[in-house]
Amino acid sequence: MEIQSFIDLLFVEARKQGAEQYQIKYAETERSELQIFEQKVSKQVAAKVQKLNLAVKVGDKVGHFVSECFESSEIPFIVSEAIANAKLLDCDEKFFFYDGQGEYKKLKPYAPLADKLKDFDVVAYLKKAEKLAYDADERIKQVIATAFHKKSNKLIMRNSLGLDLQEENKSASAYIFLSAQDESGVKSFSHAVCFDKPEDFEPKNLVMPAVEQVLAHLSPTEIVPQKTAVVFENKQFAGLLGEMADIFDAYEVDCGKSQLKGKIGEQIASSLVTIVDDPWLVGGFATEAFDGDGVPTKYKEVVKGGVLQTFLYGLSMADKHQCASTGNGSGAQGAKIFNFYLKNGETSFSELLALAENGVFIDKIKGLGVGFNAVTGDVSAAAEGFVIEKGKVTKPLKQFTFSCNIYQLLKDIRAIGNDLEFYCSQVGSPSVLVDNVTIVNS
Amino acid sequence: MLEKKLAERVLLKALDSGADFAEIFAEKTRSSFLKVGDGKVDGASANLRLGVGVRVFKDDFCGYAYTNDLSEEGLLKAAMEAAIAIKSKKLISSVSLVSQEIENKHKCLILPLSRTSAEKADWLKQFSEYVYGADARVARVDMSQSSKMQDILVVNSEGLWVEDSRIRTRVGFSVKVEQDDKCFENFWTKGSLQGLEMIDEIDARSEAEQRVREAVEMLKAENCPAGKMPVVLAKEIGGVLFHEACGHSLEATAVAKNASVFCNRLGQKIASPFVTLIDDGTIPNQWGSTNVDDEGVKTQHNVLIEKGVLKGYLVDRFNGRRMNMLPTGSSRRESYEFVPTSRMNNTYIVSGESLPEDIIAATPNGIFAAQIKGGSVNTETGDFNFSVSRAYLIENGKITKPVKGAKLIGNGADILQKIDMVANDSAIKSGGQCGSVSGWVPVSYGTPTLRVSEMAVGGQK
Repeated sequence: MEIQSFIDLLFVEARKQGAEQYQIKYAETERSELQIFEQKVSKQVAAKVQKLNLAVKVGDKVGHFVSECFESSEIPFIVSEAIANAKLLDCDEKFFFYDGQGEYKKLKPYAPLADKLKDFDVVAYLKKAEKLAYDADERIKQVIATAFHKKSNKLIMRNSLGLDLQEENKSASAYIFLSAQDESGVKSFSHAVCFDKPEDFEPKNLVMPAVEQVLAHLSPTEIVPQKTAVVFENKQFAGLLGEMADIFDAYEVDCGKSQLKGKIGEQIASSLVTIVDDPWLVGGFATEAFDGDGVPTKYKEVVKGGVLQTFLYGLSMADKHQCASTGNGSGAQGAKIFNFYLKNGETSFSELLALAENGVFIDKIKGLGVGFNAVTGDVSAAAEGFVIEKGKVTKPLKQFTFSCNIYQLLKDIRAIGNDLEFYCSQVGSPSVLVDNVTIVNS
Repeated sequence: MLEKKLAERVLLKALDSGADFAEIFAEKTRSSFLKVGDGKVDGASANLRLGVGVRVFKDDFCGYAYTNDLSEEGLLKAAMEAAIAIKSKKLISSVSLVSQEIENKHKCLILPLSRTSAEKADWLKQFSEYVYGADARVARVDMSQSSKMQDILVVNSEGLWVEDSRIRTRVGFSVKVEQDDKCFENFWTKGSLQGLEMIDEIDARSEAEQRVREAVEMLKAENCPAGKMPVVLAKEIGGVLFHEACGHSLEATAVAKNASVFCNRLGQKIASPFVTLIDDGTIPNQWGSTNVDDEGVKTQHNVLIEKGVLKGYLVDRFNGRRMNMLPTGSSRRESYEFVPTSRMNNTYIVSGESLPEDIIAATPNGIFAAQIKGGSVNTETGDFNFSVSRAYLIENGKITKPVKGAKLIGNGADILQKIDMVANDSAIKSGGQCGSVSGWVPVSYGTPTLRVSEMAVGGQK
């Protein structure tokens, strides 16, 4: 059945079953993937799927039903389930649909270079990448994966208050994952490119960062357990920032899962720290004109000069806290972030190392998701990196574990680099020098 | 979900360009999810998933296409797209599908839809009240309940036609306790491959009291000491460590690409003789079980390590080609949107002969890990890192004080060799979710109480 007719019938049925307001989010996704292994195409995937999320409002509560089935016979069931879900809710929060008022910005999100991608020989690119990796050094043990992904997504959001929005985005990326071995053992690293720069179409720019990084980590030494200064590579600190983003979510604050309650206007981080949520960033991976509630997005500094400026709100939590939405609605109580980043400092990477003098440089973190406890702020994860001696990166280190508390870490930031990067992600950061990080070995 | 003749036409289309194997996976899944926070329902949603994935092989190439357009046109298009990279002589020109009867080992007594969401919400609220009522220091309780009914159909060019119905129920909660400036969050989950009878079997008050007691005890925890020491893993929970640090390295996904520490080691001693490691997808009603895997192969009781010797890997059809091994009923995927690959089901270490209390008594000093929050493993090297959410000191052969911030750091291959005592109390922890290349799948894992003679423990002291 045509999607437009399906949506029309859904709305008719919602009215018939007594829903006061109703809304749909419809997403159509096409994706493809190609992998090379040992110079042969080993896997190819193509897909097109549609998903529809119906939200209905009964009183001040909203219930949802997500369907991948577009048969008209399912419509009464879909609507009745969504209404039943709305009637179940008895939480303190009220829910709102948005009527589409205000200015929706015309934005320039990240997009792969369409002209170059049109005639791009993916198979030749990946084969060359794999070969380059093996040819680069005899210590390269295995190119475990070499893959190309392409995706396009179309979103429609429409409701009974007159909201009618549409958004389309496209992405493309390539990824290499490889291991190297010498007498000391095996190390593995990966690298990705997103084809938004002409140089991304050169296989060597996919391969060599991974090769150089994996080789640099061979023959590692054991670290001495210590509490020390750590320079986090920009990509790794972005990972930490992404994990901690929820502490700024008004709903998490309300649920006691963030320790920032009542701290707006207070110094919660080093005065060097400014954290931005910018849905309008040119070329950003989450550059979007409207949020999950359909509200126009806004630029905001969440932390400025170390002082907490705002929490992140959608319509529901903004109503509860008697303030305006910050344009971070997710469609439920929780908040959604856009291009979320730590603002550049003025220190070059080599100056960060010089300031650290002695310590550890971390350029790989694993297991951050399970190693982070939002309630206490404690974080610990496996890491790899190098010794910093006399202000220079020296010996590679065997896998170790670092731990700290993110609330303290924000305060212990001593210097911020000027190398802000997003690395195929919506969360970005420059490299950062932090004091008092606990390092333990195996 | 699909007419037999239509399925045959789709398979033939997929075989047109020379594939040597073609398969259709069709799925219809209804699921519901309820959330109760602070004693009130704060989230309710339901989902209807419907789609088909067509997969083809040609030697060591795998093509896959999926869609939720289930019209003949949509399915034939998917078949063509799956095989688009194959340009060879047609090998198979006829397919005759024969229904395969499978025994349902996982009986469901109360279907998820036989109770209203309101009844389920009332039960969650009652459970939540028990948790709040267990101690005045309870600051926040979040409960969730989900039900899933997945109907699948797998057909392939070898004539297989197999259907399975998987009904899963899961309940979980987190409780945060606070005192002065200290807080601790404890978690509990239970999941089964069965209906709502699982909920009826839960002693909610007792579970609530136990988890709160554990959480409150952790409020007085001191920092964990660091260093190399014996570590005793509590029954059930040690399973996550072996799942992550050993199990993933035994999946064909890693082994077929020579990306595992256990490649080419079949028949070799890779663990202490106390270790027998099983992955079993057949355990009745267990969370990680199924009647058939997502390639339609019957699940099995797979012996991975027997008395320390590596006996087998977990193998799916595709990687089995590269490894020249038969599938082990271990091919899994989150949904039709994922290409299936070898994954664990219910993974556990078999009971030994020691008594749990004897293991503690035989350990002069060390750490007792009572609950592991999670961790990460580098499959290529086996290096792991786990956060122990609840740990205790063992002093003079007795469990004494709770300690916080403990991390277990080591290497999967190394700790398998260092298991020197295994108790007779093996038990399985259900309700886990494992994320990997073929998405999130339900898994269980278990161990008896066991001791690793020496492991690096990371702590703050």
